[in-house]
Amino acid sequence: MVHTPVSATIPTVVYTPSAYGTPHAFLYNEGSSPVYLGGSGVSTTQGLALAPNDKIRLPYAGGTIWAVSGYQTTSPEGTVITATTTFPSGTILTTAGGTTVTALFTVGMWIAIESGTPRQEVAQVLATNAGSVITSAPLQYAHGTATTFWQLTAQPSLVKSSDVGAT
Amino acid sequence: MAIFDVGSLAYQTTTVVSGSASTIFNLSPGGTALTSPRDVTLINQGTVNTAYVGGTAATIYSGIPVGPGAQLTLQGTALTMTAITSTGTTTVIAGLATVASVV
Repeated sequence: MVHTPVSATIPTVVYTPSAYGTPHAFLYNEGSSPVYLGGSGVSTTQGLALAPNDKIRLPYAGGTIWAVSGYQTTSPEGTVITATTTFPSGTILTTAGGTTVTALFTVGMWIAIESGTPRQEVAQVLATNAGSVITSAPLQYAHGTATTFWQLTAQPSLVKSSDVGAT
Repeated sequence: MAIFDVGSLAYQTTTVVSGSASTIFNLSPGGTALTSPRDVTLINQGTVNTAYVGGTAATIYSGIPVGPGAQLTLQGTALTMTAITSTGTTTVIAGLATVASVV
């Protein structure tokens, strides 16, 4: 039996299939916030929601399962003018309002871009510079003009993986 | 472990394709909202392709892989589920289930 803390910022492996027999998974959200289950790219919009005290069972689970927890968006908020991604360094979000707005985003802060949409992404602020917020890793999507990003407040949870293994 | 109420409005059969996610469990099938639906089970009835199952707009990266013939049962609050394949199609059936209350 494994108890895995789940964060809102980085998908966490909550189940790894056994190399022997028939792998099966039984996952239980024993935390106080919802978790979202899926593949390595799981998000709160695209993952399968598991409310507190809810469970999920896969009698045959051949793939690794990741999870993220939920979050709330809080100020500050930024509005994108342009988003320029350079691999592998990060994405530069040029922001309406210039330095007045970007100064509110501090290094290390976690942000959610296009929250609540299938294009939602979570990223960490690497730096701010001349009216831009720079993320610590490249964003997956090309976020267009007028899309918004917010600071996020994580709502971590805990997933119990029992009955894991093979039969 | 899971029993389909096959006569129920909640019983849904969906052909899942690649490229865009298909809704495999709709909270308002046929335009009629289900009343406090709980405990959903689904089976990938295909024989070849894996269905990647998730919430809104599942992708092959964000979905839980449910292989051909495999089953997934959610014991708790039911939400809209979508699925996608990486290639080809597969058939997924989903519906309300009777589940044992085991932790």
